[in-house]
Amino acid sequence: MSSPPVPTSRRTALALALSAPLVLAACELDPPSAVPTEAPAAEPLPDAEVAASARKAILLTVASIEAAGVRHPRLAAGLDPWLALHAAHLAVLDDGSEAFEVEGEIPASTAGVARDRVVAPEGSLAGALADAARRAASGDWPARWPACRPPSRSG
Amino acid sequence: MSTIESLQATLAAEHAAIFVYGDAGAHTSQSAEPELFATISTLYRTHRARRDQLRLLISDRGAVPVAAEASYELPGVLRTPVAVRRLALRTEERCAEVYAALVANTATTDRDWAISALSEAAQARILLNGSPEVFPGAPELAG
Repeated sequence: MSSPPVPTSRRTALALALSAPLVLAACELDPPSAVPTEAPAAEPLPDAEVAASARKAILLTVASIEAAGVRHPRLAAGLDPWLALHAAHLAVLDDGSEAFEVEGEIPASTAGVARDRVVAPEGSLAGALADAARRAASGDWPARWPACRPPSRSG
Repeated sequence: MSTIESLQATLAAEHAAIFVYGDAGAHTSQSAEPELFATISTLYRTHRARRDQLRLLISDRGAVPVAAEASYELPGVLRTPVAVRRLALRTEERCAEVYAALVANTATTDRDWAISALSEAAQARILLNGSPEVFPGAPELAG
């Protein structure tokens, strides 16, 4: 089977994300400019709105999972893989914009029901992310979103 | 890479996958390994269906669908069910990479097709007892 073509843009975006903190640190060492100049308006990132909606959807899910883990500590270990999965996706989707304030659902009083209520929406989240991938205009972002699968077969 | 080039690359991958699953099915006992045989058979049919769909997608653009190679190099003789699973898993991983690239190089209904294929490849991995991946088809994103 021939080697698949991986879009360079994804790697480029990653390299930029990795190098951004170094660039910012270097800027702090630069002497201040003698004449203050107005900073040019920042260009909006491609698909920023779509990426923001995807991040928000994931954060809502994370908030519900975390709330369930806090209320039912014995569930926490089983929920950790889900949190790790979502954290990895959020890290890739993070464009440095302002964080969202989200509030997860209040967990059910029974551990089993609480677990079901956080696991079931994973399917909806996967659908929402696939939809975001469809809406994205650039070829860079969409490849990151589809096929976000639950971390275990049983869900 | 253009959309048509990406579709052709995906079709080439499907040709290879069909060849691999043909060999995997031939080395899997239906009586001794009924579950594995069923999985291999299902995935074989899935890739054949995708091949046919891709041929249509490419033909609709006025291009000639890339043909299958006469033969493909396989890693060796599949002597055990473990080896069959391993080869099938590797095939799904490679296909997922191709589908992810197709997602990045398409729009509208073509992208829908690629998204579905990528999702199904991720699920096939689980069917084959593989571990779930955070970024199916794009392992470089996992860092």
